[in-house]
Amino acid sequence: MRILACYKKGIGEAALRPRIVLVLWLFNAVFASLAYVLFSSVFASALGRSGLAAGLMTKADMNVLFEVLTTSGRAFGVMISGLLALLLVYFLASIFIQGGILGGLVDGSGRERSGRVFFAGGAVHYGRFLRLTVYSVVLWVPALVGYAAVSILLGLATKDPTKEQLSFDLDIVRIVLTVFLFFLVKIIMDYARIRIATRDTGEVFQALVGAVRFVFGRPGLTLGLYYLLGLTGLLIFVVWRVFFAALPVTTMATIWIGFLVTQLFIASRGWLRIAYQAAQLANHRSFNGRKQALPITVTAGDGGAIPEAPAG
Amino acid sequence: MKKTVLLVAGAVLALTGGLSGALSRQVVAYDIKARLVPETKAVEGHEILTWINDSANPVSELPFHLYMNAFKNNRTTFMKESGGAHRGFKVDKDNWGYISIIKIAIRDGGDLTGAVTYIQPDDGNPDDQTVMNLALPAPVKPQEKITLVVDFVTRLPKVFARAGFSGDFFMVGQWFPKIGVLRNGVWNCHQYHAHSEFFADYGAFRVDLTVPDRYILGATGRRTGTVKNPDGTTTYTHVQEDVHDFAWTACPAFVEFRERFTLNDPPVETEMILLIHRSHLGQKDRYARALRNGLEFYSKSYGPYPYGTITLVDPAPGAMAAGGMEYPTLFTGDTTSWIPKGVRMPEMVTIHEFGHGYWYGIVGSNEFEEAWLDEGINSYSEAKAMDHYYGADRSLIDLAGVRIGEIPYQRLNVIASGRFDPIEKFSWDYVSGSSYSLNVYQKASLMMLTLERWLGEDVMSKVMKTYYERWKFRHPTAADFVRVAEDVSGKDLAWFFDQVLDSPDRLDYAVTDLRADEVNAPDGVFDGQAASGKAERPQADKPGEKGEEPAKGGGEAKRAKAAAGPRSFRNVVVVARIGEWVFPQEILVVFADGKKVRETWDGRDRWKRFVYVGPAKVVSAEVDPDHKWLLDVNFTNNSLVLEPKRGPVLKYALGFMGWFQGLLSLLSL
Repeated sequence: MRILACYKKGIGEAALRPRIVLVLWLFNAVFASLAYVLFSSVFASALGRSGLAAGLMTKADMNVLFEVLTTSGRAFGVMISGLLALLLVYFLASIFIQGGILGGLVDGSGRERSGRVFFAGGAVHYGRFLRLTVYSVVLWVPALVGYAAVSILLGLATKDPTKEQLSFDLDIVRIVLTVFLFFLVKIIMDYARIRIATRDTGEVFQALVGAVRFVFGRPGLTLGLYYLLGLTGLLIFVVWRVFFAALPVTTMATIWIGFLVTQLFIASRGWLRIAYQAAQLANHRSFNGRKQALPITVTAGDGGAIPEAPAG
Repeated sequence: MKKTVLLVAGAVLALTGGLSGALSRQVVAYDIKARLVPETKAVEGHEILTWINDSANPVSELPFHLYMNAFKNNRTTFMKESGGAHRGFKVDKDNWGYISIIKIAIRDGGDLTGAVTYIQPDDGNPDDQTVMNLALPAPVKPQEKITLVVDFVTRLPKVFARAGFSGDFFMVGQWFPKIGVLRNGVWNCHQYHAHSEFFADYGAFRVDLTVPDRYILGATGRRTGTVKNPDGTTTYTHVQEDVHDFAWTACPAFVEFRERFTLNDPPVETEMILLIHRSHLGQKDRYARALRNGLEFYSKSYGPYPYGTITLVDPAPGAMAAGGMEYPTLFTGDTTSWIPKGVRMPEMVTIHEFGHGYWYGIVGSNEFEEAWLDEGINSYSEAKAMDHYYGADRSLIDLAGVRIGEIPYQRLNVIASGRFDPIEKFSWDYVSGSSYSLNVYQKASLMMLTLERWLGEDVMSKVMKTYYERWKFRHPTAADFVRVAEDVSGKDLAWFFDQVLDSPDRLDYAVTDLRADEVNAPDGVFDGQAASGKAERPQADKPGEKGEEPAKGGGEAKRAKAAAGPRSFRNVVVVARIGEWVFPQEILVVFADGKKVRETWDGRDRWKRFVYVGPAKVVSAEVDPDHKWLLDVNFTNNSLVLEPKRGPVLKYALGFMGWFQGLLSLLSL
């Protein structure tokens, strides 16, 4: 029942923050528009004024697309390098977003839904969360070791090459294990951020250790809550894909309709991000009492001034 | 023993072509008894070989292929060239493969074991023992026969290149001493190379194969006898005439399926034998359907399948290195238990390997020296068959909305390749394995498809049928193929084959410029009169007529004149030869008023300009609009439009943006 209560709380809190959802969407769209510029310039120069392009409007002919990719492989290679750099920058920037969301969620000033609180939270927690990201190596390494150990054991079971189907099935197990471990680390990181934000502490490593204890102390609850929210995201994804499958993207009008619906979907991911953090915060508070951090004081004109908070 | 003598006598009769119904000039006859010893991964063999000197000169030495010695150590030519790996599979150094000649003698004559030497005609590598030379005590005179008796033991390697074992699966190919081919009085007997397959003479085979009872066996030819032995083994007798090799397989986990295949036009009557590994039973129907398709397509397109059996061998899991290989009347497929239906690898491999039965088996191409005659012609045939049965745009992959056809896939390989080698070359002389395969498979296939689109499908069909008919059960060369193509089409095709077969260069034509400039009214100073913009318009000699300019040089030959009417445009189309190969071209020019003009160009010069003056703007121009020249390495530059539509770029760029946004949101979740 606690899972459902936290889930409800998370969904409700996210619904109350349309402005933050808008900020998250905008943040995503700004980075993605750079990718758009990169791709469209490379794609346009690859196809140039070629007549081959006309056919692509009505049919996604993979044979033509692969030919374009092959003949202009170098340009697309440069584009991919640019996109990787963009992803890295986005990753660093997303640490700010996490701080912003949590800053608002733990703020008790009554202005927690304001954009200023979001940005102030992002700023105040950035250094802490960045350090947390670096410290997370202590989670990734054991996860990798664990994966390697299981993988070796599975490898022993499939040493006989005649067990082809078993080998395939165990490859699926490997993929599932990879996803599970990846999300397990993400869950621990989420709770570590919550501990840092609720206690407004710079003791990042202790928060990480506390988060590990918290998650492993109640794995059913923490994982269940995370995957329940994940299921919600999956449902939204399926709805989006079904809509897209039914939309014949062959005219300018339908191209733009598809684009707008995609933006709604992306906005829903921002909403889901807030729901994740709000639900996990509620879960954390239900065990730790409401160790409320002091409100982030926002002074008009000079941004936010963060008062000293007691370590807790 | 009596039975053996009778059979050898029969084989000798067959040698001379005297056996009624023989389809080939049978130069060899093999009578082999072999026993599989699974514990030692060995085959113990006793071979009686009869060979006829079909040349005009006496022969005093006989060379033999001992292919299995390619896997004897790490210094053989095969190992040096391949680095001990083949198609991604590595040699198992605990399981080398080799063939030992225990004894070789002339029947009813002296022991010649001491006269055995090893020769290396291709590279002089003293560590290579894949060609054995036998000096004879007396020459074999023209049209005279010699019968040799050979005792040998073949130790099979862990399979990593076509033949060998994996667990209790055995693929036994290139396993017995096989005599070379005497062509024009010269022996053709190459060493086993990393990037070449095989070549041998036609004849008759009778082989007794003894394996433990629990093994299911498949082999070249038809089964004529099965004898259970008291020692827990079974001997299977297989017989086949008009083939140049013999291979077999054995595995207790095979499930055997037999199915009659009949065709009325042309008449074909054969038995499909499918040996499917137990773990791949779910793939049986895919294999069977593909084999039926192959039998039908090749029989209808080239000539009726002439043998009584065709055996498909499904390699055991872990033995994929044995997959995708052809032998007369027997070939290996390639699949896994989990491969999705939309990935048509089992179908493609099945049709391809079956097809080799035509272009390596029935038409006896020399795969050492002109591999494309088999691999290239067969890749062409297979691509046509795959397109015919599975759809041209999805013949290779049709999965989750991703559709890839075989011919575009072949093009991608050629486009992405370097220009190091031509198609026609000795197999071991290519700069790399990938250069060998893209030239002899994909580029040669595209050459055939290009030729087909140039000559027309009907003419090409006649070319292929004639080539098959003229060269079945014989050994053609590239020159023979060209001759058939020229005979049937009535065209001189030297310009085509000289470039494509012998040059590593490329074909690439492009439309490099497309303009529509409005023709202004005369303005300025003209001799003898003054003119202004409002004075008078220049009159076109013939409104809308194109003005063609010389191909070379920068100056225009004649001044374009504006057409009558309110507006007139000077439309310019420039086509260029980017690649080295010279091919005649057609250019399709489309105007805004719907008018279409087809131009021709011999394609020799580096560029050519077409000028059209008229009331309509040019909309687009395309060189090779029918995509006849599949060898053209860049179709994207074949056309230009005057005003490109933003739609396609917008569609894919926004689609890409949405995908990227999803990735970003996943990253921040």
